[in-house]
Amino acid sequence: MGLAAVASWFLLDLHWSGLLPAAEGDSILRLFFQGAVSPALDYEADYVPKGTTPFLWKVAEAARTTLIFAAGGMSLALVFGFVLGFLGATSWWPRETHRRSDWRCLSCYLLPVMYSVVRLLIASMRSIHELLWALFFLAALGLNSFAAVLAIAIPYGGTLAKVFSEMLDEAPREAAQSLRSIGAGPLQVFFWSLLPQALPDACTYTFYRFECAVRSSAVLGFFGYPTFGYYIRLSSENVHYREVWAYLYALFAIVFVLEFWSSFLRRKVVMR
Amino acid sequence: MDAPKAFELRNVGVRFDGFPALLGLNLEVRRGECLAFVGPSGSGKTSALGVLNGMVPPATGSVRIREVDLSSIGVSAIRKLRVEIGVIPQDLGLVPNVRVYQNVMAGRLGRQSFIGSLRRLIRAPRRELQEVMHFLKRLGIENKIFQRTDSLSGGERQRVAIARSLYQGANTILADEPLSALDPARARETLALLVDIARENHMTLVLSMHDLALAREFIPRLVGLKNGAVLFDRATGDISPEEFEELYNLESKERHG
Repeated sequence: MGLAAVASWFLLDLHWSGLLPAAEGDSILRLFFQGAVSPALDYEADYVPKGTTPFLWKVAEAARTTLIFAAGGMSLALVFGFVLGFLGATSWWPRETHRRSDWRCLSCYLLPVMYSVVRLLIASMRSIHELLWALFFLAALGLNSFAAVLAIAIPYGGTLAKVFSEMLDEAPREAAQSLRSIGAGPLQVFFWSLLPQALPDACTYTFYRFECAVRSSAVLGFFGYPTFGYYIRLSSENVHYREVWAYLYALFAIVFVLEFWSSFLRRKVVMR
Repeated sequence: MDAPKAFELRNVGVRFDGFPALLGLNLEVRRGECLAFVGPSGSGKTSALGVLNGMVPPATGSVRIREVDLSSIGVSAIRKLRVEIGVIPQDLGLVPNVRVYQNVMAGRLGRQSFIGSLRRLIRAPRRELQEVMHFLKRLGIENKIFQRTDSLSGGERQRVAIARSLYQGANTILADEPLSALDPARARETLALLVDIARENHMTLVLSMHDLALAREFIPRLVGLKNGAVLFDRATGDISPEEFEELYNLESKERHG
């Protein structure tokens, strides 16, 4: 790590002076942090046309849209994650598959091929960032909601699938082995033993990814979707930092609420 | 007349990563019989039990379960045979974070279709819950039916594992070191219960255990295993104290090579 730090310092041509504010940068910084102390409750602009939606209502509207895109993306990502996570795990395979002891066992040959294909698919889904997916889908589908949902769902689905499959493979195997030894099939082993054991951690991770999806959904606004990013960019370009902070505080609030909601659900439902 | 054979092992050898775990084991177990493998750790007791339900494939020799040669049938046919054999592994093989009744109901998975088992996982039918309750009552833990399994004591979890085999409707129970995690009083009580239940239900019971005193008190036939080979296989009353001594005497290994 030390070597990497030294190498990147020289390769990236870093200088301490880069940390100092550029010309007039210090006044912008001051303005920005002043906004944090007194976030806007109304438009900062001197002239606002009559009939314009009240500012706080607009913040609420941005919050709602951000949440809807995040929830839409995550629900599709969960389906991808569950199906590909299952197909990308090996712990549910019949014992014979690992040994290839019986030439008549078709699954002994099919499952490893399917596993490799699925792992490749999972890797390719998550290797491209959601913003790049958003760029592709914007070009292909235009500025419609489905493009944003897919842009979140694909990389998040890949990440969930990778983590779910690892959770399934790392779940204790004793119960699975015991069910196999009394004649349970591979899918029964999965649903009755591996899934219940992996579920608490999988739920915690899913909630965490939902928080990330809220952030991603907010950033998608920079591409023109009516989420936080869109309004933050507009306010920022107009140097209305108090408005920017109002949106940021709304984003914090959402993440806090999600945090409490997830720990409540985990305590009451998953760990019960 | 002798009862039909439940298991027949002929010259069975097992190897793990090239190391021999069992050397030419010959064994016949009649239906309804009760026997135990005894011997020190690493003597091949767990491997012998694994061979009996086809979970451990033999490197040499043949295994017959209820007159069916395992080498002549496929994976799915072996799975069907396992449905009749209840297994209580040393670690009990229970899912810790589900309810007791779910662990017991898992005993019948081999008899159910995938969709049927999924339906039962989502919502257990009332009639089957009553059946689970009946077995738990027999084992004295009916008040634990809706508790999480990992909130139970070691002895209670042991009973859940026994209840699973009973609910399974198995004609055989294979129990690997079922007393290892229990205190002496609880171990005695559990072994007595297992033997009673097997007798009541005309089940074949094959155990592996360390405690010779308990084995001599409750189990009518003992198979002594040492370094993967059979040292003795006789009615418990016919085994001499010297043979028991040799079984656990580490020095004898050096003496006899």
